[in-house]
Amino acid sequence: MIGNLSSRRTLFFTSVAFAVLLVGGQPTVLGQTDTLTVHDAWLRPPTGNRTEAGVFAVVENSSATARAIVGVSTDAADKAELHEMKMSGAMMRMSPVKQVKVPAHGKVELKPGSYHVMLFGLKKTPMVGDSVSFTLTFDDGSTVSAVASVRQDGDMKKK
Amino acid sequence: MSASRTAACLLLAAAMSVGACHKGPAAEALPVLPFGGDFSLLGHDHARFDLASLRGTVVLVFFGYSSCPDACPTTLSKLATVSRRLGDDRARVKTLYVSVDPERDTPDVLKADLENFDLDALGLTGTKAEIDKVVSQFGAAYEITPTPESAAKYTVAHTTWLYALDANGRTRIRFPYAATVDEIVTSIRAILAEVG
Repeated sequence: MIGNLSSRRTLFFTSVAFAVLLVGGQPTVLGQTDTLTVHDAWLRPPTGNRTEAGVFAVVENSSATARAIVGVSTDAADKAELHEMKMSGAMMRMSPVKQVKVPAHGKVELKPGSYHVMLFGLKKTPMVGDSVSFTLTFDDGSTVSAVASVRQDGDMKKK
Repeated sequence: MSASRTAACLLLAAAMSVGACHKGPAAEALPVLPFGGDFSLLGHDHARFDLASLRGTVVLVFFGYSSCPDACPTTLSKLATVSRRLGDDRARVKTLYVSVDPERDTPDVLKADLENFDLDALGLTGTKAEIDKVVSQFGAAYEITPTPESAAKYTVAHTTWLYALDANGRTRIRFPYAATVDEIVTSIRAILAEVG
């Protein structure tokens, strides 16, 4: 029954707990449950004729239990997957992953050069200023929806 | 020594393992690195391209692929910033973007990819054998791994070095992925100073 309670609570929070914050003049859309928060979500506009894009965000877990992101979905693309980009020596590798851990009382940053969401088969090319909604599913069955703003990545991000 | 010059020296020392920074990043301080050399590939304009045709121009070379979601657009974006920072000198610098994914990267795909960046860059592709030869010349590497569980179908791992070639086509600097715009601009200016 805990699952049902959790699902109802998740539904409640994801239904009502969207808040638009202003951080440094830029609107940030926040999605959360009572313990999981997704914020600062963004994506790069795809270049050329690409229909793929990486989505980045910060996922925070305020509970005493470690969680893991185990799925992602969006109406904006044919498919959304969890991926990891990492350097081994000078070699940059990308690979799909089954889950991304979010430590208890901690956070994980989905960011360039690290874990991120990949969208494949974008139905419409997102332009700077657009936004794309997506939903993360966690290992306890809860879900958090968030909105990623499209922005140009002007220079390399420092880890 | 200015902060930028100090940064350039640190970069050059790290990239080339030489200790010539007391001379500043002047042309004679840059050794000729033992990789690179002339090559010929197919340009995104569908014309055959020969590196030898760019004598007199400083050339930046890097390997990537157009479906690359992270490292390649980051590098292209960074090089667009470098180009802007070079001001009038940008006309003396050409970027070559060599695809290691010829199956997907046709000339038209590369052209569409590069059109999004304010950069004088030529996308290059070819047969796998042609590309492998250039990759080997530059001491670069790539690996293609099938990923049937992903919509990507396969992933491409590749080295992320950026090579700077002088006006004679010789490789003078190999930048790591983490090289900053300032470091690249300073180093390009040092190479440009060779030809005045």
